[in-house]
Amino acid sequence: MKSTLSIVALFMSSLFFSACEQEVQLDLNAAEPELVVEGYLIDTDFYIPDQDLDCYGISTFTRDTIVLLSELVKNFLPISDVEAKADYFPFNKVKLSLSVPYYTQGMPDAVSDAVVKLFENDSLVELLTEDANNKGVYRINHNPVVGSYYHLEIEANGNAYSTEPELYQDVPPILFAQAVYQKSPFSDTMIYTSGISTFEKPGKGDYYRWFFYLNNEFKSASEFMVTSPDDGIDGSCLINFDFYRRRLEPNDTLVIFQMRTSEQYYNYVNTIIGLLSVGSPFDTPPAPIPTNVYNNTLDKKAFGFFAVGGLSANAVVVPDTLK
Amino acid sequence: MKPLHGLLLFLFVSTNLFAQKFTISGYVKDKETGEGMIAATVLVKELKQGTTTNEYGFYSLSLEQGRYTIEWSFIGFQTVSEVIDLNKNFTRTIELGFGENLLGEVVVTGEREDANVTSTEIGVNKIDIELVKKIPQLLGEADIIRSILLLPGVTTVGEGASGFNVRGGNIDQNLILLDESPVFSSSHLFGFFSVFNADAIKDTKLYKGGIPAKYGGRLSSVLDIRQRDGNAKKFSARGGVGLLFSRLTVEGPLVKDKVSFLIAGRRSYFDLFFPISKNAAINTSKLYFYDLNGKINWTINDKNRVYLSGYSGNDIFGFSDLFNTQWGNNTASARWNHLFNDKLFANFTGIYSQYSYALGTDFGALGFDWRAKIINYTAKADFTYYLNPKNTLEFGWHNTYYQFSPGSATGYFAVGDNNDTVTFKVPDIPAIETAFYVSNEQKIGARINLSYGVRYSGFAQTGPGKVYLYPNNIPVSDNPLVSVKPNDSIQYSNSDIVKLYHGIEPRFAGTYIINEESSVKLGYNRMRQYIHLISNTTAATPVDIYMPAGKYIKPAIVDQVSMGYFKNFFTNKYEGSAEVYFKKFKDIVDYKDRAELLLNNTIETELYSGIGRAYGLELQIKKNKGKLTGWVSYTLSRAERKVEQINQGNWYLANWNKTHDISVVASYDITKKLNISSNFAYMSSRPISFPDGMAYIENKYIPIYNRRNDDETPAYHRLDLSGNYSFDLKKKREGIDIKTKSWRENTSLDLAFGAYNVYARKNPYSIYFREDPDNPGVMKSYQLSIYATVIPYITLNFKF
Repeated sequence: MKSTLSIVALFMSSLFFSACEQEVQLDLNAAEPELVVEGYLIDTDFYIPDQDLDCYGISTFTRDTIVLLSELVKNFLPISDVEAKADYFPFNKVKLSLSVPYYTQGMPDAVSDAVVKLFENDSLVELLTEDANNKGVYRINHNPVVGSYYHLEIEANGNAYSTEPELYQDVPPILFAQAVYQKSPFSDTMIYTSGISTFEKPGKGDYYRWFFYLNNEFKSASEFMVTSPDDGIDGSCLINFDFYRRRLEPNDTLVIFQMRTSEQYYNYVNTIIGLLSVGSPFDTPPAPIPTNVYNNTLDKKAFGFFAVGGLSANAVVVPDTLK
Repeated sequence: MKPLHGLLLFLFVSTNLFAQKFTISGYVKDKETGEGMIAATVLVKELKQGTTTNEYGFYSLSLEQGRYTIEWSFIGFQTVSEVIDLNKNFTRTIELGFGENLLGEVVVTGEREDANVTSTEIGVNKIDIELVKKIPQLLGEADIIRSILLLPGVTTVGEGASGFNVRGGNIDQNLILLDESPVFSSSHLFGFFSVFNADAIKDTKLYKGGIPAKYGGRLSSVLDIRQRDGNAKKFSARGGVGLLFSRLTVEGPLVKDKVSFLIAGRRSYFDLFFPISKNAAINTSKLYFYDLNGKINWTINDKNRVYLSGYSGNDIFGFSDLFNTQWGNNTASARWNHLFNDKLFANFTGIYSQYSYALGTDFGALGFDWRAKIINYTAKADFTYYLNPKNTLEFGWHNTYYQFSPGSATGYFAVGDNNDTVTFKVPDIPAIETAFYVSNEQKIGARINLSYGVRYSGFAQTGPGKVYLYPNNIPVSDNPLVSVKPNDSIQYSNSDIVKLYHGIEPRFAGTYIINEESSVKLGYNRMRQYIHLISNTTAATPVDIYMPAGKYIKPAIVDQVSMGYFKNFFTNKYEGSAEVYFKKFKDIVDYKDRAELLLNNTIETELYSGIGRAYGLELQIKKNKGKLTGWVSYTLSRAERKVEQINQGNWYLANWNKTHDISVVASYDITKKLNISSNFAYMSSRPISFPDGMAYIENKYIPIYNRRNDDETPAYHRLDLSGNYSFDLKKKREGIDIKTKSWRENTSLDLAFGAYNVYARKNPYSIYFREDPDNPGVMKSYQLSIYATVIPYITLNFKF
């Protein structure tokens, strides 16, 4: 439904033909710097159904096929390749920085020399070490266990922080990913789009996020922060579904990561999407970014999120010419 | 003693204090058109007492036997006077002709000159349609809603925003009635134009305070709009041709003086320019609105009249074949006026009103079709009993059946090479609202006029339907990261009542007349509102929905006290008023941060409940006579809310709070043919939230907000100018034949021209914060202005 609302907002905004946007300089308050946590604990734990999946009577994913494809995906996941080449790769890392006054230019101050501890079901399982080449980035090496809860405890800049425990859950794998050659919805021309085939785990209350890397470049704009609950698709097959929603060019390689997340993370990301998708008369009022990070020393909320979840990936490779 | 018992006893005593003998009653009509005149004065000169006609032009006066001089008058029309020996009941229907000697010098307000001083009405503004047509308007279209925004106590969140805010109330707190049918959306094109065609409107009145007991269901105001009946004497037409839309009204008698009709229509034609575009997507797009007003009135006999009214308005927008949306109001009402006797006037009404929207795309796997609507059927009976010249009793019963359809969406999902659909529907919610009321307008001596009454209203959300149950019966979470999940549900059947609310709504307005030119007034009203607009966007959108009070959403209640001093100067040439008000709201709805309100069948998990207060001072000085007419108004006000989960439970400003609001409206008749007019509007800043920092997340900066509505936009101001030139078609020419002369005699042609936002002020609609698209990593702030430039217009208006 988020996509629906985006389309509505887009078209409504286009009506305001006499509207004008101009830059203004404002005298804004500046809050004290506070810790921003961006952490992801992931692994390739896939959900495999107990039986064959009937896809609307049109197709069937047999369990054996799912197991086979899952193994292929797991063994040929382009994770390390993307990590090596991409400018941004957040998984199995905790990145610490400080908030800055609005209008600040340049990168924020990284929080170095922090003590970052990873807990599994309240037991310390890893003391994270800071990446020597990336100040403020702490690597996670621990392999999470499906059904366990994870949280961080951080000591930084004289303050003690903790995150709310997050449940680690397996993720349905992306079984296929392919370039789909079809008519553009905006014109009569034929274009390539992405299509992934996967399925949703039966049982309501699941949430997902997709990350996109186009030719090893992370797509960071808000329109590429795609999330969804399982409302309306609970337990369904998704065949050739286009979450990326943009045309692809010949020779493009689009790597799609599918992560199973929590409701908390889903709401956190959607708030950020809302804060970035502004400029329409029909905007909703801006809201504080919800967080699961707490400053225990000052007894107040910090910023950011520590997320955990199973991660699947697959790549769409577009042929070098149009058909 | 309970209040109702006390009121009935008071009325009983009042009834017996004044023994009536005979009654003179009838209608006051416009001689030219045969239309009933609202608020025309009927004066008994010997007694210096009188009455005014009601919404249908009816009056009734009961007097002791005697010889009286009766005067029927209406400002701008010639007064009719007659000496009557009142020794039996009389029926007198009077037709008033236009006062030609006053032409060009008077703005017809309809009310007697000192009505603002003597009446019990406090916080009430009559909107003069003739003045609305003269003052500058966006693209030259006479706009009732934009004109209302120039009145004290009425604001909007911004230019182009749908609806209006009255005395600190939200836009859904205004009951907008068109020939008694409720209109849910008052704007075309997202708020650019109102849905009311001024050519079809006879009378408009805005009640901001001291709201009579016959009105209910909204907290903050009643906008009562009456359509013209149609000319019962002769056929005529009027209209206008503008650059972007045109209108035409045709009216006339079907049976002279018995049955008349009126049909009025408008259509915009922005879309006619689209085919010029070379862009295939644009030249196949559509964007227009239309509305149609229709009315038939049938005078069956002296005691029975029937009115059939209808309105249909729609906005249609389609982007190529990909995206289509439509929204609009449809209303219909049938009214039967019946005189049981000379003193008892009754109006029985049946109403149908619907607001609906639909939108959809054909984006293949992302396609959807989405629809929602609210329908209501109303039956009501309103009675006016003219006890005597000092007491007029009103009572009645209203009953409304609602059908809320909050939304259904059908999504198209690709499955292999085939498409399949998934439909998600928020279940329909039926509800019934009933109200009884009784009120009396009483004159005590020469100096005190009172209007008092009670309304007792009830509202029941009924089955069939499913209601979710939540842990501890609390559906909303204080934690913005999680929502409360239902742990059970109850299925209600057709005859079940899900939740019932009811309560008393006392109303009072009193005037103490200090002298012929000044008075002080006091008003109090309690209003209950059982339906809520569910919207958390800066401006309401066509896809917002109404939801009824139910198990979790309580009806909102407001108590308003207002006081005013009214003073006329120079024999009523100038009207001055100063009013103060205080409103206390209870159980108003506000929203969680980033609430998801659309297609949500557990919407109660997104809503907070709180209290509110609004208070202010309204000053106005108005000039009604002479070549220069208009008004200057100033409002100092504050609208605040308090919700436990927002801003740590402290008071915060409502989105529509405008501390200072100044309007200057002036219209000057240079000659009988040329008029110039201007508006100036100033509104101080609107509450908004600014960030106080940024967090770097996912390779981009995200603004950090901490408190709701703690900052302010820059102020708003605007100047509009207009001119109106009437062509002299009666000028004699050589060789003109009789037929042509006759045609010219009955035709008028006016050229309206002007400019909106003359000095091209870029008024702030909103301010937002985001990365500079041309400089990634650089965060900036931007102001959005809706009308950022001067907008000229020219329209040719005709009447024949």
